[in-house]
Amino acid sequence: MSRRRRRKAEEQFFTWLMRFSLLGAACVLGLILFTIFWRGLDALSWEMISQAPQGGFYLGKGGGILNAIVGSLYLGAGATLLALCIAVPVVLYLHTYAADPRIRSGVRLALDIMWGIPSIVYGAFGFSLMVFLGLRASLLAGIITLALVVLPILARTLDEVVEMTPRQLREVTLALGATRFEWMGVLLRQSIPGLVTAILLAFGRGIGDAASVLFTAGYTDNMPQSLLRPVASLPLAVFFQLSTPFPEVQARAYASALVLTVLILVISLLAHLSMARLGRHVIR
Amino acid sequence: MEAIRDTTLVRRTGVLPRRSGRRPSLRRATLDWAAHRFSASTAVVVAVLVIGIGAALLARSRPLLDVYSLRELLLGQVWLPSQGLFGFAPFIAGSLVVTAVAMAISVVPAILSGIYLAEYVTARTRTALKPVIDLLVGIPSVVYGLWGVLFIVPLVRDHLGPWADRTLGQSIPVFSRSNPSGYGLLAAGFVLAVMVFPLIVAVTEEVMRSVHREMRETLLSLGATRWETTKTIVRHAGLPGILAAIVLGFSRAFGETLAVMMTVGNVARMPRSIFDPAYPLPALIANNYGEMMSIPLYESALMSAALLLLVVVVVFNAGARLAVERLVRKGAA
Amino acid sequence: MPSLSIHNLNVWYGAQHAIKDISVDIPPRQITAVIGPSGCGKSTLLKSLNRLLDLNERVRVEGQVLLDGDNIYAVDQDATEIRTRIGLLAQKPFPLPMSIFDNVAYGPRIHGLANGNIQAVVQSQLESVGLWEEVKDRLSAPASGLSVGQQQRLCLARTLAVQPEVLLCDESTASLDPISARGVESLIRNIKTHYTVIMVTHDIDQARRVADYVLFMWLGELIEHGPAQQFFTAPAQPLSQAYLAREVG
Repeated sequence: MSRRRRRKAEEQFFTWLMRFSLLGAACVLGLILFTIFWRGLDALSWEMISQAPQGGFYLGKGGGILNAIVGSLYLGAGATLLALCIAVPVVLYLHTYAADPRIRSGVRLALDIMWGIPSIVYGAFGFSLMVFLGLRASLLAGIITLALVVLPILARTLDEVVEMTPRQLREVTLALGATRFEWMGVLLRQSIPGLVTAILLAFGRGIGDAASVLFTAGYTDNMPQSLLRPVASLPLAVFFQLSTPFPEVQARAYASALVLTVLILVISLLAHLSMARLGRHVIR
Repeated sequence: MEAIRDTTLVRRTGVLPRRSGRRPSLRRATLDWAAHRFSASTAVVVAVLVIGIGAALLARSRPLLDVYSLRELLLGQVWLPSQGLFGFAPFIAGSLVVTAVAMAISVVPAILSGIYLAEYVTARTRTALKPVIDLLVGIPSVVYGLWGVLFIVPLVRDHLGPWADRTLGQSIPVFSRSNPSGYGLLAAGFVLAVMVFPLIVAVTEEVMRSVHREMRETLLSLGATRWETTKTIVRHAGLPGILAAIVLGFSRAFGETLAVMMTVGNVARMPRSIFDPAYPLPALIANNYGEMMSIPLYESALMSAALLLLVVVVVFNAGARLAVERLVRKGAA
Repeated sequence: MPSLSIHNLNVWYGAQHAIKDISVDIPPRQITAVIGPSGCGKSTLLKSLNRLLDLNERVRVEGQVLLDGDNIYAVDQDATEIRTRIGLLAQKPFPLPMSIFDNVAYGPRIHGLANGNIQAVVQSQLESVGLWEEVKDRLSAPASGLSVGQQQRLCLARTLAVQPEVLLCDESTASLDPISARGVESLIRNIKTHYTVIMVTHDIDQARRVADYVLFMWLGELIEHGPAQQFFTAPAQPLSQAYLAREVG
């Protein structure tokens, strides 16, 4: 009898311990969002998001972070586009032409390894590539480096979506006399919802990443002008504003972080919606 | 043939060429050939990238590695680039300790949460919680860092530090409050713990769910409680996967840059207490890129740091991924 | 001896009504065979008897299953204890990923049934299923190395080691070769002096050979039940007659 009670008590104890862990994590998430919103909203103003920094911005004078917002959007979009040019053909290759399973698992392993490489390492690599090519810190260099960061995210997400397309579709298509290239087109069409989700995920990651663009994109108070000029980014705006000794400027870091967080939240929400919405038209 | 050609599927997918003979026309065959070459070459690009990153960092590290022995670099305690002293030991120790603190805080709750999601929760709850975990993964490092500065650092400075000073720190040096600022290993470790938590949860959940349904039913039929069932599953089927989850979390934490750099204090010294400031490898690289040009070998030293990070993370990651893949495939078979 | 009786049991899988208002008393220390065409709810009925249906959140159960007069679906009942008293032998043998010894020892260990002599418990259980001589030299080898027939006997030993009062068999011989199937079948026949056995089978001949009592199900309904001899010689319902004559199902 006492054994039964002891086992029951153990069961209860660990169930509650697990619930408590999960609850704790949820509380921390809530706390993070609360802290960012609470401190950020205080400092946020229309001026912050509608203007580029003016003279003496880092001493607490006027201006905003529009340069960083636009810069981040350029960096994220450019990197995602560039990575798409590799990710889409690679994934389609894995599902059509690549006959040897060793090639398939090799490429997937390479992508997984790339996913695990810290973005600061990409930053260092991008920097040495820049020096090698004679480029200065610029939007272009930032885009190239960031593309390396988002490539595995894009490719592996898309890969999993294509994996879910039904096997019969392949037989039906090829039996109709289609070439494998035309089969690629069918696969891509089938995977568009997943592709949209993957693009949004990659875009979100691109906007949020700081360590890779620290070396390569530089920072500037000007609005982005050219591919070959330095460009500001939101994460670095948060970081640099926080490093100043002036409380007014630090408050701007909070506001910048809020803008960044809201942007990420919206993108991740869109990614989930796109998965649910567009998925309805796909043959399963 | 005409009838088949007109099926919805074909119209929807748009594969079928207008006039198809028995063999693809020259144009289609050429396109097919070109697509094959092009897509295969992008696969080669991916492989070359992975190798190229390692090779490039190695090449840039060579100047330093040619002058100093690996032993001198890895065990050297002094970092004074202007005098030609490149001791990486304090940075390696900083990275290891901050990661260890993060793992100590997050591993147990993360694994318990992952198990809970896999074994105890209804499918509906699970699908509702998934986006929350994805969200945690998606929050940028710099936002975690800012949260650390605004919340964790003051917490360590005003509450945890003084408390440790009164209690544990009196007798155990590791817990003595060596630094009143709050910026240090504990604060950075806590922020990192929050960042790696969702990753460990996700992998644990995947591993636990790949275990045969029959195993669960068998154990329950023998009158095991849910917790006993879970324990047995973990011990006899899930252990390698959960170890892999921990390794993946470790390697993520090991390379994390901004959030750590903002909260860890950045002092290049061998850490003695969890309240000590430290200077992990990623912070070393990130903080010094501007000034490195004027000092000989400085740039090469920073590239060596990046190479070291790369090697550690890639070895850990590849090992863990292979283990998870094997496990999940075995479960599915 | 335990009495097991079912009162107005209904089970839904989502919107599908899988078990329709079944009431029956299961005779103790006998083998009750549940027969009927596949998809008639036999397995669902079996799983509802040891609350294994709890695992599926889409399942809804109404009605009562009384074990010694206590409803196993009452709120204060502990599913773990129910499953200890009502053992299950699954369709496909599933040896736990551990040694042969640990497979049998698992139940006695968690329930504290061995009184310090786990060795003797394992040996006697393996002897009772006729496996001891075959495996006594490799007790620490992984159970997955046994043949399928041996595995199923091991699973039976593992289930009996928990000392259940009722044994549920879910087509437990269906995935075995004919010789092993006969072996397991005769084992089950031999243990009925100690256990109440409920056995789902789609094999009418097997039911004829082993059953003392028969439940005949059709599309979730209990069409007919009664002593085996009576059922097989003079089935009362036209549907039962047709099924036995293999005209339907």
